[in-house]
Amino acid sequence: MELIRGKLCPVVTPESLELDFEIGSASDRIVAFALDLFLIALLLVVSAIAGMVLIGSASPAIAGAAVLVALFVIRQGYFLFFELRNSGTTPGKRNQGLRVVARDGGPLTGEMIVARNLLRDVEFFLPITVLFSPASLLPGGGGLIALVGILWLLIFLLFPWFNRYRMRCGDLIAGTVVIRQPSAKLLPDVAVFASPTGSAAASRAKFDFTAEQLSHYGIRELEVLEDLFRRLDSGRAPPEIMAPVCEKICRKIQWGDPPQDADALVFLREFYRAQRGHLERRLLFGARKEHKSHVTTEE
Amino acid sequence: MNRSDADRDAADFELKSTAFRREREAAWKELDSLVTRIERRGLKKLDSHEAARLPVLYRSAVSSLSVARAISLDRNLREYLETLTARAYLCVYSNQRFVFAVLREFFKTRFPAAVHRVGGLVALSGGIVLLGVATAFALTMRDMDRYDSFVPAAMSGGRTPASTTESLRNVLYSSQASLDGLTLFASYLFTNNSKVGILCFAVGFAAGAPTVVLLFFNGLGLGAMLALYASRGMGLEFLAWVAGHGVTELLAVVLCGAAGLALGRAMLFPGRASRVDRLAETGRATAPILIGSVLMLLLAAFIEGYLRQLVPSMSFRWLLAAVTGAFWIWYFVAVGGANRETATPMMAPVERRPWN
Repeated sequence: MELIRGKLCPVVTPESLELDFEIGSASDRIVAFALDLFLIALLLVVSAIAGMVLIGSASPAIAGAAVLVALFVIRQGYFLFFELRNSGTTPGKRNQGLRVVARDGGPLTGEMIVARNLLRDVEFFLPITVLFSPASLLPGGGGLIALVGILWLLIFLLFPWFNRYRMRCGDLIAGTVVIRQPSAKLLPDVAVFASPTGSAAASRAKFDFTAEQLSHYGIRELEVLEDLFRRLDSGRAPPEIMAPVCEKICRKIQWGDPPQDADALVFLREFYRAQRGHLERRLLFGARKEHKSHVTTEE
Repeated sequence: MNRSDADRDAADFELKSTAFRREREAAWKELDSLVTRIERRGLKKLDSHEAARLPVLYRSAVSSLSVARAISLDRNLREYLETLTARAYLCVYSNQRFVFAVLREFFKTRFPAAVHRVGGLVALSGGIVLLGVATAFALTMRDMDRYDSFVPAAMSGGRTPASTTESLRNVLYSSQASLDGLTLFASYLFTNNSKVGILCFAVGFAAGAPTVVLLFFNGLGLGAMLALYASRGMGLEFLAWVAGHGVTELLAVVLCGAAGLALGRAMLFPGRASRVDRLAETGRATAPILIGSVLMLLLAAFIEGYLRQLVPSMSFRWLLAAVTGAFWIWYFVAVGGANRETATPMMAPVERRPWN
């Protein structure tokens, strides 16, 4: 349901507009990272094979040196290259709909990308190396050093869960945060509908509501009703669910006999429009009625 | 019935939020299609007319969002505008520039200025390395058996107290193996040193302590080896051998260490800003140092692998060391000092942001 969104991170743009970005979830980020790792491994294998072909043909030492440098460049440069080129996305992140943005609301600069990716080395690649070959950290090191590697990896892997915006150490140092690429569709306005007589939306309404009748509900209930219409319009809810809703509203606003059958839908649509008009007008005067038991000062 | 006129009007006629949407919707749709194309194919694929429209449409979306937040209770509309503005914001403030301009700016100002700003820490970091050198030198001179604990077997390359003086001399002067072997050696040195440099920086946020340890350890190896050669009466020759590339290589590691220490300082003494903000700011201010250092290491590996071994003369090696040393001093002190102001200050007060 659209009402449920992940944790939000406020970013203030240079226009002093506060935008709430949804934080990229841990699972999405892990999948994105795994995808990127897979691509890196693929590139490494390809360059190694190319190196072997070269060693067979040309000078072996130069080919060996080229492979050694290529491995370094691929490992260090993959994230740098893509995040710089695609303004904060890598193929893995793009696949998962993730993106790196600056926490201070400014543009994502090269320094930030460099800083956050240098830390990746310490956070992941190094402890993994230690884990698989403990001797690389301490000559002759064995199981105990591997344990250190695991501990090291765990500390950095769990780090994002200990801050509000799920930042890993690299994000912390660089001043960045990974967000979900925003996306939403503009749907038709629920308050615009053809009246039963077939004339335009702005024609006279069939039902009239008094200010007293419109004073019961708040914004939350209005949005629930909007959601109901959207589900009805997209076929995700059967038309039968409207009758009980109509009855409940009639009881609440003391309408009298609830309209039946086709009239129930017309009633609900007109009630929605009237209720929204009422609440929007109150909003302009600074009285924001959040929900039905919320009492604003002017009431 | 007590019915207000205003309510009757509202029910009979178009809502304000609906009229608002009708008037602005065309501009939103235009921005939406522009942003969708940028997300798929990048900013560069826009023609000049579209590129000129983007900021205009973005600003109008910003204003639409402010209005919608104030007057509209259509949740879908508000969410759409929030995301549209956010998407447009990401496109407008994305940082796509020409590679050449970025490189020129980096070498002319960013890198030297970033180094100049942490000048004190560079001195500190260099001091720690020298302390390591002195410690290992003094200890090894007294007892050669300690050499093995300072220089791991992988790094010694057969140069141990057990080696004959003749073989030690050979390492310094032979034009060694063939050129082919040197290429491999140089690229190994480069990747290895780069890893050490990056590590020195990255572990800095743990209050700088691991950086200090790493720098000190780096000095130990050098000091022990110097002691070994000094005990055979080749101390100066060894220094000349190291200095040719060592000036550049050690400086690069020292710079990485200074960047790591800067992170540690931000962690320990954030001043008036929060630790998170200070860390982020320092990380950004020192990132150019890391890039520059890796390039310096590339240069050092080139000098070490080719230049030095091709000309096995002492005076040439001293000259090499003097020229590179003088160049770096000029680059970081004069060029860096001149551009210091153009770069963003590191210890400026940080504005409080809503996430604090």
